[in-house]
Amino acid sequence: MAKIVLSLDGTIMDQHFLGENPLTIGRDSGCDLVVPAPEVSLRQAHISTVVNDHFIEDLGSTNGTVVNGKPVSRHLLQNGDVVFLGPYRLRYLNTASAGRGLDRTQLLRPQGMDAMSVGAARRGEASLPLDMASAAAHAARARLAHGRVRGIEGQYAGSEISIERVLLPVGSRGSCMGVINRRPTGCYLVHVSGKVRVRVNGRPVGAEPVLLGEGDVVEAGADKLVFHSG
Amino acid sequence: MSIRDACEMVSDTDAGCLRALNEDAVRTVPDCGLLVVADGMGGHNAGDVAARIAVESVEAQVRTVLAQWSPQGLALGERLREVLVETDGRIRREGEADRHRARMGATLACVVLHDNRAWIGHVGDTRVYRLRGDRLELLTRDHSPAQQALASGMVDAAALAGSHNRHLVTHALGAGGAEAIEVRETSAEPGDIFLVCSDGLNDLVDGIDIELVLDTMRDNLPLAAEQLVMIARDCGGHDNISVALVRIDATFPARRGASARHGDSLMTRLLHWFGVRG
Repeated sequence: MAKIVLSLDGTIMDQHFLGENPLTIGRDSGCDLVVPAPEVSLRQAHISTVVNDHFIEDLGSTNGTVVNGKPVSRHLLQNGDVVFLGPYRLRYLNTASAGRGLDRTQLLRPQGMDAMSVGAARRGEASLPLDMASAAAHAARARLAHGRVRGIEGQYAGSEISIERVLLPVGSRGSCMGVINRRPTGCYLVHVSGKVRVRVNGRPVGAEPVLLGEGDVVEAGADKLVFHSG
Repeated sequence: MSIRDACEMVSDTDAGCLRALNEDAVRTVPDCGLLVVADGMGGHNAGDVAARIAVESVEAQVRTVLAQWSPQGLALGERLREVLVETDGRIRREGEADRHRARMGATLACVVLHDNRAWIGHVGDTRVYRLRGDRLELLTRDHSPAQQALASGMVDAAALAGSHNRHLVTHALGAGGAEAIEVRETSAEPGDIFLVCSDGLNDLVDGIDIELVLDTMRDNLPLAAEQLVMIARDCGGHDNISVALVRIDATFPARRGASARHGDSLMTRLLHWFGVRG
């Protein structure tokens, strides 16, 4: 269940639970949520609902709609978001924690949803854009160890790069390929493919990943790198 | 070359970090060029049973369909749709027969490789991707409100990460998902890798990171599967994680049997003799 709370100087003036119908916000008395401030347009914005999500959309207002200090034309509301309406503050509260991921997959059968999703799915053969993991997964990535490599020879020679992604490929396909994985317990070197094994401090890496330590020298094909933790 | 000899297939499945039960089912069948992953519905009863029925049903029926191959063609797309409709019915009937299994369901995605083409079927949010060159493409659109919001432009991929709707699907087999069944046909070329996965992968690992893993590990498919599961676990692993992978290494034209050849014109037979397909 989600709701919006309108306040002025810390005093709650109004609140609405968000249901299936769109909710309009503005200075006009016909709006669902009336905000009597001169900075607010007659019809300022509306909030629409898609199952558990709520989107705020500016309706071409004079001063724009600002969420958490940033102007938005359309914005997916997150728990705790604050919409600035002149001196008024509109806070969005949603007890279903977004992207927390602990909730299991559930089947949704509201009327009208079927035709909508199936219709969209059948449109076009083109492949779809790649999407991103949940907010929870991005938060969990903070637990992954950090590492940097300084290139001595090969594709990274002369540069020092921080490993930002979950893994960094080293070497080249065909001859000798490895990856450095960022894991919660540290950064590990893994041999991927090629007749020549990737090496740490001159020793070939076997079937098991090798935990990299500060100053370890990694060799993979034409690449030679020094690993730094942190 | 037969599809069995023209490809390598691997799979991996893991209950994840938080759940005791794995309600996913995964099956690779090299003889049939088939990959299938089903994700039993949580919140329902016996999701693991539904997932198992789903993959077994698809495997058995696809075998039958391919055994009926004729040179006039299989209409494989239509057959695959029928396979999924029947699978929906089997899960529903099992559910109706046992009140402990009432309303169980499963999302499912599958790939059938046949005659140098790929047929992709899916219901729900189980997915199929294809890596071609170094680019990963998502070939299925989830039957979910989150994906719907993305498709309609209401929200972009970055904002979708924070959606409250990530774990909702609109359709599942066994739970009235038959009308949503989608089947598409697409090309399958040597070098292509197809990935079928449950949402426990793509909910935890960004699309571009899946791409990086598959591209880097294309020559070591077992490691690619293992790493995808490992990364999903390292990023929270709050759901069951299943992946099935196939890499196509050669063309796989359907076998033209001697009896089938008999009725062909001399020119067709000659062209076939020289390896040219009409």
